[in-house]
Amino acid sequence: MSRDILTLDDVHVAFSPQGLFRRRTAPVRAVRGVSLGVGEAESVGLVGESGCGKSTLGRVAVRLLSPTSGTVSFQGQAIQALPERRMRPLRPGLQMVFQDPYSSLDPSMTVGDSVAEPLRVHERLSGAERRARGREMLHLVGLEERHLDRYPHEFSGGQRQRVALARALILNPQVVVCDEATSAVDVSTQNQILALLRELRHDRGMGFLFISHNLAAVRHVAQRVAVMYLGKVVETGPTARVFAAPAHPYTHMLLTSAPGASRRGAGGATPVGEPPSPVNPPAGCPFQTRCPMVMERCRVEMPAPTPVDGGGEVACHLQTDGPHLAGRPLPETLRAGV
Amino acid sequence: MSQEAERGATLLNVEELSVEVLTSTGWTGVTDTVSFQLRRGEVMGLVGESGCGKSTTALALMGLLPKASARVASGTVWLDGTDLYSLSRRQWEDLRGDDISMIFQEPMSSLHPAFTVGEQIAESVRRHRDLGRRDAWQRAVALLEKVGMPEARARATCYPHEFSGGMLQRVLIAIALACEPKVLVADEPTTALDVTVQAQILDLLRSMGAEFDLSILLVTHDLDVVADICDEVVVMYAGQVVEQATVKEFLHAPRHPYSRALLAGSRPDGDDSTELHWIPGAPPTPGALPPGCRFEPRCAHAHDRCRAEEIALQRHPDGSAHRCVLDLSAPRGE
Repeated sequence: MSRDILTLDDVHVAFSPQGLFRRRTAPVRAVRGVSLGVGEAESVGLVGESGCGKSTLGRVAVRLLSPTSGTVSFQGQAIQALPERRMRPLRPGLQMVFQDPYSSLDPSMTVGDSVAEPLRVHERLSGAERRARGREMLHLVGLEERHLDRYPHEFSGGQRQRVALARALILNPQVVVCDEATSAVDVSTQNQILALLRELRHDRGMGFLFISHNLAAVRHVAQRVAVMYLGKVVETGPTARVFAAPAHPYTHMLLTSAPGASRRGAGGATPVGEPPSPVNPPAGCPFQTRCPMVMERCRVEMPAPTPVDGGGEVACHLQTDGPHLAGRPLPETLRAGV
Repeated sequence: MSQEAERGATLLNVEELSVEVLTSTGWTGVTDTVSFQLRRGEVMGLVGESGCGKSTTALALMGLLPKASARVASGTVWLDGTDLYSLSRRQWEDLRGDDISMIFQEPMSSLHPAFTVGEQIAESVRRHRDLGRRDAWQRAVALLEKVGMPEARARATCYPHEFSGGMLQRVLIAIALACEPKVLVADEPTTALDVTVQAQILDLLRSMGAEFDLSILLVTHDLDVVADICDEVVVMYAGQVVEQATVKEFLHAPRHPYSRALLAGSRPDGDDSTELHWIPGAPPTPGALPPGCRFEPRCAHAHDRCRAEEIALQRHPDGSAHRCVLDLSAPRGE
């Protein structure tokens, strides 16, 4: 991308949990050297399974969390260590929507007040003006004026998620980080929200970092995809290329695991294992413990990102050392392996 | 077209089941005369958007509705010839776990945090079978092996918090299958799981179903899961059954506009087109139902007749059913 508004460069995050009775516990290495950018009017999908570090990365991107090392820049300014006083003027441009609108909306505030609250902090407006903007935002996300004076508990999950979205959008941000923003709602509501995100991208040039475990949603909304596994990005690329010709065995496993008639019809092998603990990630490739095509080299050496035909990069030794995965079906024997 | 002969005999027969819940305005109906038959060895999906009454129906037929706030207003549930609602509490407890068992979306909240998983499986075995401690433990380990728990003997001595969500769901499946029930009711069993683990659990349910000749009632909002594992589908909307069909008919030629709209939204066949579909509006709330067809306010095919009268469920000779004046699977739509 020519110009990214939001850039993460070699970000590492490690948590050192305070054990009970100050027992020393090993740090959880949630994110291990991730670089990622979101450009103007661009939507980047970040996919991976629970515990892969994608939500941690999202929090780092909006500086709810400071990275252990690495830089986060927004509009060309490094924000990872910016004092709160200097961060505040940048906040309107960088917003976040969480998965669970139950816990991100104040139950004692009306929805109208919740949606307009960012305006109190960031803009000098009269109460009437704030209310008008709040109404406008509710319309945008498909809610009605009569909803303004209601409380979060009076709404369904899908409606609450729209409210959370309205609040994130009211300051007209340049980048919105959506962390599983459509994961708790019905498909119908999900699709409506995805369509709205597309529209905002086209009409207002908003950029999105769309974090989700839901491949179908990512496919609909993102132009570029990054696949994370155990704290590392294992593959990036244009959405169409990644879905049609996954270059990393993990991406391949994710895509073939998606339920549906095609999986049933294929009668393919059940994916093996579960991601290992981020407390003690294996040396070498993070995916080696589950990879059906693992080689000796994968156990000792972390593969470097290598360009893939059709765009993007993959961190896999197969790309440099073995039969490429991209664009070709895995040999049956390997597919059925283990 | 009829697959009648291939299917087994009816095992679970839900007849005109209506459930009411207590709201601020009194008892309000949330499901309306829900009927379906689950056959031996069949996997049936009970689908619909949140709040359509699918989980309520599942809890009602398990006798697990919260007593203070929900009740069965009318209807019967037969399990292999036994009228479940005629049972005493004691009889019902004997039957639950033995003939019919249930697994839930959140495996963590279904297990006791202070007992090892082996103890909890063994407890379930001993509750229903005359086995000694040692034998029950052996059975627990064997069950864990069966559900694909690696190092089952060692893992049996671990506590729930030491497991991942996928492994806990395996433990719950082990408990549910401990006494080889005839029917397994699974309420969103893979919704909280990651996609690769979801595939593992679906494959496990499939193989367990085949091995134990088990009938599975799968409550889910995910049509991809339905396409993956179900033989038969019952679609619910606003507390009513609006369509019943084989999974093939449902996916390729749905009769009800709601089914078609749901399918357009999720496209389980992996259509690559990028157009997004959704159903405008929201399902009606119980107690504020539209006068005619309950789907009419959101329906793309609605006309005057739909507002005038309630639409009855039409049963077809091949065992399928739908609740609409139209039949969208018919060549000209009527």
